[in-house]
Amino acid sequence: MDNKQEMPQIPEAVKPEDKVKAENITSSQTQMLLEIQRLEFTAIELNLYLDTHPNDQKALSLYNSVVPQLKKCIEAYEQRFGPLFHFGMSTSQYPWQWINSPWPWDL
Amino acid sequence: MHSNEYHLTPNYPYAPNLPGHPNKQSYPGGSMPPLQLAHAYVPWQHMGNIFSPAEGLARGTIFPELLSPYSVPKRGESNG
Repeated sequence: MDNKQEMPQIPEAVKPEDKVKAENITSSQTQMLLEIQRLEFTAIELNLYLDTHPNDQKALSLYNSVVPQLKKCIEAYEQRFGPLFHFGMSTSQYPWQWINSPWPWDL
Repeated sequence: MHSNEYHLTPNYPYAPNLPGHPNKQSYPGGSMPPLQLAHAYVPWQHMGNIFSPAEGLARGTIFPELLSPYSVPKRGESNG
């Protein structure tokens, strides 16, 4: 007697409009997001290193070179796909985009 | 945080020889300085080269000297 219970089927929780949001995510959008993640990760790592090595000249110049690159990638992304941050961190085109662009878990 | 000054206990023997325990050195080669017990020591990091952003994100660090991923046992192998 196979007592392995049947795995409960998790109901398909994705609301229809989320499906639409998720579908039109282009590969260039994911590619740009990935680039932002890469640059941001490097900035975070250098930041953590600088917290304990504030006099490390090379680390500081590396950090200062990554920040503008990251900003450029974020601006380019937001120009095309809407704000990445809210509460005053990013502007939005008309109509208000924050509630319509895909959430991180939609990607 | 002073950089690499260890808390050395003057004339501290390598390992306290507890009665009933064999006279064992706490450091295999005995080459380590007799460090204060129960103190954590983190050697000071000196940044050398760093990974590219892409590689750093993939590996989980941009510092090669900090890279030490757990080895994932291949299917069938167990570290049981």
